[in-house]
Amino acid sequence: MNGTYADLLEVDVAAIEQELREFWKSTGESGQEAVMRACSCNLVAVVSNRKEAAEFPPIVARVAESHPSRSIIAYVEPEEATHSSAIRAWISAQCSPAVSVTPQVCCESITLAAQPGAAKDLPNTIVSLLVPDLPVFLYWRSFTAAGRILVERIARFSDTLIVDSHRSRQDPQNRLNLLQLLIAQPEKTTVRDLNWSRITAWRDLIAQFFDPPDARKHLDLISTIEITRQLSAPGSIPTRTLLLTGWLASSLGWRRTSARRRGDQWFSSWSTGGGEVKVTFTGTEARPGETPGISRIAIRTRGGEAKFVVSAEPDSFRLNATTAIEDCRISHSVAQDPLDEASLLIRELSHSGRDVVFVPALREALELEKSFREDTQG
Amino acid sequence: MSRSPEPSMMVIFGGSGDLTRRKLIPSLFRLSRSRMIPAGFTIIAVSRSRMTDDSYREMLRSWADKDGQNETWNNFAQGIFYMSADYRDPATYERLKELMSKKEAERRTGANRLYYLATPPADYPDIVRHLGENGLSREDSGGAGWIRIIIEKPFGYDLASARELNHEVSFRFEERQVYRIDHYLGKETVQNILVFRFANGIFEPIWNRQFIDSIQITASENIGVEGRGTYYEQAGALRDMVQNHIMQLIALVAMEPPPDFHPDSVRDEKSKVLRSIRRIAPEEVSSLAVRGQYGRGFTRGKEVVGYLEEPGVAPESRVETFAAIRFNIDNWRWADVPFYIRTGKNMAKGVTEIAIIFRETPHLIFRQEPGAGIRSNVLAFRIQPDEGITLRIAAKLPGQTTEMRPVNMDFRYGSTFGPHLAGAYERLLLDCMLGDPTLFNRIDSVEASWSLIQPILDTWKADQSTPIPQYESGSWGPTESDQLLARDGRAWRLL
Repeated sequence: MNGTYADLLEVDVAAIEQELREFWKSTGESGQEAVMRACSCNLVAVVSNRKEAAEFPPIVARVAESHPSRSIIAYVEPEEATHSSAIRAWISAQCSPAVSVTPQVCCESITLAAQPGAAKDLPNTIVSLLVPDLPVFLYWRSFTAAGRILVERIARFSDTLIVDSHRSRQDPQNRLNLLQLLIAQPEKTTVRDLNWSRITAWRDLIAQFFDPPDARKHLDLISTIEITRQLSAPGSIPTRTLLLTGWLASSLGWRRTSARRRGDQWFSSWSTGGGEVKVTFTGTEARPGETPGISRIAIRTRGGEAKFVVSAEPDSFRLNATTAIEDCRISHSVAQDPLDEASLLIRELSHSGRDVVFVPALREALELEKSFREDTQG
Repeated sequence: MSRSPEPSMMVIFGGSGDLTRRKLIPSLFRLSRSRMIPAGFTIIAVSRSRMTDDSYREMLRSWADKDGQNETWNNFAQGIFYMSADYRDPATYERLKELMSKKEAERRTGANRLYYLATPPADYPDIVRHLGENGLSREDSGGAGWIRIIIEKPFGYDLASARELNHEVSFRFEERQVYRIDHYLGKETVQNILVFRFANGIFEPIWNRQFIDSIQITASENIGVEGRGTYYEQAGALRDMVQNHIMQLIALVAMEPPPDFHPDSVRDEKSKVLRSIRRIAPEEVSSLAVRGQYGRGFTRGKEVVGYLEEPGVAPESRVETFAAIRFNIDNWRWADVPFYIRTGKNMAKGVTEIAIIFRETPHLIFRQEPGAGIRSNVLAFRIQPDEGITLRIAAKLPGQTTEMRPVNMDFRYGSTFGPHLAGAYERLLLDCMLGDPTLFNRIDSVEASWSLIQPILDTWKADQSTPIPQYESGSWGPTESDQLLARDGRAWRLL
């Protein structure tokens, strides 16, 4: 129990709870420093394969520092294996580092691997392992079409479905269907997206431009938005940029009038209460050391009266926001929140209930992406 | 200091059966090992199988070996004797009388005798009758010793047979001699319901319709009939679980405070509340009760067959392996508070729990996003496994907002009082030897329970055409069970 997570211990799937009790009992009797077993939620992660399952425990360990949880990592083996168990199970403990005199806080993790023929039985097995009365967060880590049926069944007993829609850029064939699935979730299931969290700081800064009462009038006067992105590879889908545009459009009541794409230049036009807005995404290949993603957003109003710019500082985790209205120019700089997977998950687990802005933004982003596709195909 | 009973002898009818091997002998051994029963305690096991004292002891040894207690076991086993006999043969009881007298003299157990009926229930009336006819049931008026009888559930097959059995038992034994055992009542958490309710001042004031929205009792098993299909065909979930265990749990949760912990004070209140439960009329059965049968599926790590494919089960069987019922109690405390109960085999999890679901706050001052996880407070008594009590409350998530999250305050017997809890049978056997019937069922509550179940049994039996809802093994039962609560705007807890 010295590291952040202990080695996996294979157990009989029929006796997982009993094995966990024994596991904790032996931990208590080992004479080592006292550990505190804690659990504030259930975190179910559906991953695509064994490799991904092996990557996940360190992330769970990080998440557990903020949200002690029972984590269940589940995947379906690619082919029928030779071992006799239809579903294999492993248990392990995740422990946060001991701080001062307080006992080390530990929580438990269960990994389940189903043979293809037993995939349909995974949901019931997972249900039987949930800690009662605590929220169930379902993290569909792979976000691929292969896991869809499994996730749909598990989502029925989950409070929150978390995905990283950015991952679906690797599955363009199914991406739109997957996004559609998120929008179609029943009201009782909250949907959250790590990719949405990645643009939270950008959204906050843009919204803050218009917080002063005398700046609000500029919302109706927006005429152009230029979004510059660093590309990981030419032709990649601008997942965050689409979401950001979807957010602006759905929040401000814009109606899309056209969308066309020329290579990594994406153009769209929107009809607004005050006229027309042109939104341009410009992609340039990321240089070595540069992080792919949005690097600059510039918003201009008609007549050039006002200009709002948010830009990422190269080689740092800072965002600079500049407001220029007539002769007045105000700048400020904020730190970006960490955007690694564990940090994003911690943030999602810190919320309960629906983000009422997200689904409309996603819906708009999805329609915009479809329009771009139609243009490309046409 | 623990109470210790007088020296005594226990005669177990059904001595080679599963219950004796798995529960009774191990419980008695543990009691002996912990010096809770005196030296000289004697067991006479009566059964049809042909065995000698030694071969019977050898059969039991396999269990003791597993427990690593060879030395102590050898000593304990010296007090175990076996008698091969037919329960229906009057000569059996002459032989038994002789053997008891002999062993009483040898082992100085006095004239204290405890009979335990661990046979198939069909044998109960014969055994009771023969004991009576052979002068083995009535205590000596001179006070030479006590005679008690423990009757294992089920107490009858239906209301009529329960009355018949009670009539036979009452004819041969005084009610104070009769201990109808329901091992649920021996579990620590079950007993703790009374302590929790009546020894803590903060709960009783809110234990009523003003503060409680509903009560859910779940007694689910994640195993099927396990080769006992023939038995289960005669039982079903209602008889096997609801009539006894679950009705007793309802009684403990819903009863009024007794004036003291005298056995009759407690049992009077339990009986009273059982009589206050509204009988479900035949025409209400379809809307207030749901039955189901498990189909194929996956539990405890393996694929399992459906009930109709189990050995000993008729291919067209209409026996229910799942039951969910909504009860109402017509008294001042519980008017309009539904008691939802469910039990079943091959379900998602093996768990027995009573959940008290409190009303939501009348007005939530904290602005929450739709779907935020604010639910009612829930007080859950976990009977098994991992016995304990959990209170679900809302807590503020750390940060700049007032977002809330349900959190659990847990009390677990295992972690608070150490890993060893006395088993239910240990507690109940000892109580019986001590002459304390508080945790045993009295004749009136048994009949009151049957009278509540009988209309459902009759209605289901009469209906031979409506398909029995099927549920996938490893799930939480048929969808009709969810609809039972959904109609009231509620949902089963996800356990």
